Amino acid sequence: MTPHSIAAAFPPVDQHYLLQARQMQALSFSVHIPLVAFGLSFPAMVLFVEWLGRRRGDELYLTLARRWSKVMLTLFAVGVITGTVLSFEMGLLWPNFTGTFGSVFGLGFTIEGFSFFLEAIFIGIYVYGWRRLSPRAHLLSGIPIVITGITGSLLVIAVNAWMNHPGGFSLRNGKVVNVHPLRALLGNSYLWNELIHMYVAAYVVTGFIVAGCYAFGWLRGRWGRYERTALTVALTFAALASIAQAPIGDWAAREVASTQPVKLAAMEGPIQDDSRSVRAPSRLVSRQPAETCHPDPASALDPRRSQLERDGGGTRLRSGQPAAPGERGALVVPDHGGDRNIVRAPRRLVRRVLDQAKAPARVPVVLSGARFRRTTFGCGADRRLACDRGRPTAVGGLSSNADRRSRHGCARHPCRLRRACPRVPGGSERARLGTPTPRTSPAGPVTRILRPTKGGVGHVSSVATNGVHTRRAHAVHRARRRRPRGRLLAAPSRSRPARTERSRVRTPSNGARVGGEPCLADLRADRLLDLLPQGVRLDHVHSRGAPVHRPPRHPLSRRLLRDAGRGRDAAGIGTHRHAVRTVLDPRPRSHSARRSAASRPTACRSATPPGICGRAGSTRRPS
Amino acid sequence: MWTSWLNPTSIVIGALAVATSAYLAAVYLAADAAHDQERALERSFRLRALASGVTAGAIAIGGLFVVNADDHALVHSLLHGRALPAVIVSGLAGLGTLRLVSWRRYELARYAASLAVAAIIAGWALSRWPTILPGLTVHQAAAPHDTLVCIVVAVLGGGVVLLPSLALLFRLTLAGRFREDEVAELEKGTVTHPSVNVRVLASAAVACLIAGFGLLNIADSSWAHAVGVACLFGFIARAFSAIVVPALDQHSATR
Repeated sequence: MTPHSIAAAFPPVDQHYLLQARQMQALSFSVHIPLVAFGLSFPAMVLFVEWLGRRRGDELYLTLARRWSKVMLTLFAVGVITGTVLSFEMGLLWPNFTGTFGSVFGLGFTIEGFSFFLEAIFIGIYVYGWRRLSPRAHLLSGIPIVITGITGSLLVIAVNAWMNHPGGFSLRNGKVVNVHPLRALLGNSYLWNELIHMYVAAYVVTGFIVAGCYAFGWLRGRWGRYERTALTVALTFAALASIAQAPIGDWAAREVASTQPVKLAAMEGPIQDDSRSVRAPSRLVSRQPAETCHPDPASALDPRRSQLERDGGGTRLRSGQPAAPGERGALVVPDHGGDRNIVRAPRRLVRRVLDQAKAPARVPVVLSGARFRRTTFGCGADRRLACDRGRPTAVGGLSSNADRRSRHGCARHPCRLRRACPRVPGGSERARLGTPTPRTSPAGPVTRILRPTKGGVGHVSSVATNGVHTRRAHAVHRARRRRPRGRLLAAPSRSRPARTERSRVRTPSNGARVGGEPCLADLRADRLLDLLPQGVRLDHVHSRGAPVHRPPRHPLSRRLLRDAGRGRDAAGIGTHRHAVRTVLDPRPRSHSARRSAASRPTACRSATPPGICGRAGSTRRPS
Repeated sequence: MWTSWLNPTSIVIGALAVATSAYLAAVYLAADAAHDQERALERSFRLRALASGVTAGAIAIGGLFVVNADDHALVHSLLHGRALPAVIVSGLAGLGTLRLVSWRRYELARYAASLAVAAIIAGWALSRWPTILPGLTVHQAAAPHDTLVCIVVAVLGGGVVLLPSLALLFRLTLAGRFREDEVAELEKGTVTHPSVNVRVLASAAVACLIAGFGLLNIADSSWAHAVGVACLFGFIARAFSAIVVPALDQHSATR
């Protein structure tokens, strides 16, 4: 089946109020998912405390478990309401999707319904059975809650994994035929890392929230044995889950990197959109601003992008100025709105955080909400500041949420724009669905429908391009084999000027970049939807407004860019007008950095196209 | 002014839904109040059950005329087709419920009330048969065969688990176990402080963490990932017992 026939199978999506539907869905998910986290992990914590109390014969533990179980029941009830909203939204907001593919994934929701009912029944028995059932029966009645929580999330995540990686059916005339629901849902390789990541993240979220409540009580002077016990249990759960979440998250990130590079780029890089009304999700993990100007799926392939970034020592807050190239930002706020948008976090708070971060025990801090004093939901949720200074504990939990949100929030598609080592049996030729993405005006729709070009499949990229890919593939391979510590844990804050100066610049070699023209490679017959039919959208992967300019195709430009990458001339990166405004830059900066900053504007103009270097003239003083 | 969402039929059906819910709730609560010998509560719920039953019946009968004006075919199929028995059963059950409630025979009234509501919903489905929506038959709306088989199996399997659980819940609730006096929570004499060898546990946890890390993040095969995830969960469990138990012991000692 050619991509054209598949594309013909789906008419272009022309849904009314598409943007509003997406926002509604995103809002519902972001309300529902934290409650799900409680439903997943809180029963186990309550049961553990009850078991401890029975075993030790200590009334205090039972009191604690009884109070927690009431919280558990309340949150479950709220989760039921938000989950009901979600299930209606599946049909009301996405009728075509559900109508077309409902027969494939509907089974998951059927079984999940049973699991939900069982959970509700046993939560009722558990909470109302305190002091009325025998101790043993009461403890046993809690176990189904834990199990059904896992099975319910398993099936919902199976649906999500299927959405990321559809399979178990074929398309004929736009109709889904030959459906194997079990294979579609449970035989999906994407399921396991998503499930485990979600499950561990649930412990992180619940543990830290519960521990936070008792820590707050501690500040208020409530610090008896009861509070100490509660804090110990919750915090231990959360901390250990955070440690385990680091390798699990890295595993998940590598899976995403190898199968959905654009999604990884979308999760990590600041994403621009045409209409200013939609805010791009900001990043949890700091990134060198230079790279944000080259949102390139190829660089998203680099597994190192999923690590938490190293950071130089002695950071401080800079605001109101565009980031200079070579800076390793640790506090990054993508600017969505008007110009001169400075970070709105009270500086004192950030400074305090940074002072703490200088201490040997580097505490990872995720600051949520840009305006701490009056957090507004829309802005606050978007402008999540990430200050990562060491162990990725807190980041892990939140990133899982953001991850899920980004997975749920928009129509998704397994668009594997390029695989890590794209190879096609035909040798150097890569099947390519090269697509100059249809450009719209800056005020146009947020999403782009990726269409196959007229060239369609079989467009052959040049040999030179292929060489670049091979080199990149080697780099990826090497990076995957690097010592694990470097990949996972952020290094201690030590000043590494050589590294911070170096910005790896990649030329968008064949036009395939986030923000540009995604190209499909590695077309395989068994993954029909990989061919990206017309009706399936890919959200948020294009640069804002300005059309993508490829760098001029002559050797000089490439050399300049390469030189820039080596820090000799930090050319024109990091100053895109949409780019990062606020950066905690490493201090002290070296003299070479000053030089390069001073010499940037010229080089920027000469070396990089306007789409990449929008704000050439704004020199930043390292003050 | 009228749309497919807002029209006389939908308003009547919505009002009927609210009235039947109130009716069911009042009947059931009256039964519970009678069971608990709460005389005042029982009186007020009995009154409400009678009032809401009469209201629901009035809405149902009056609604027939409204719906007849709006959608003649629906009423015609309700009163002339195979739905007629269901409508008759619903009406009789409704009247019987009112009678039973006024006689204070609440246990029977429960079943009669649910029969009345279930019969009218079944009558609606029967009157529409074989279409599920105008222009869409059940056959057209059905999923492919394999999916249906899977769903039937899932529903049956789920029912095997769900129904006993539901029966357990109802037995506990209706038999009044949840209203009984509190039983002693603690079994005396179970005070045991297990001795935990923290050092061994901690080193096992670290070993698990390292193994899980290596298997999950350095190895590439899927079985290694599975074992690595298991190791990481083992790490959590062991480290948890190595940390929490001594900490709680310490708290207990300093109480």
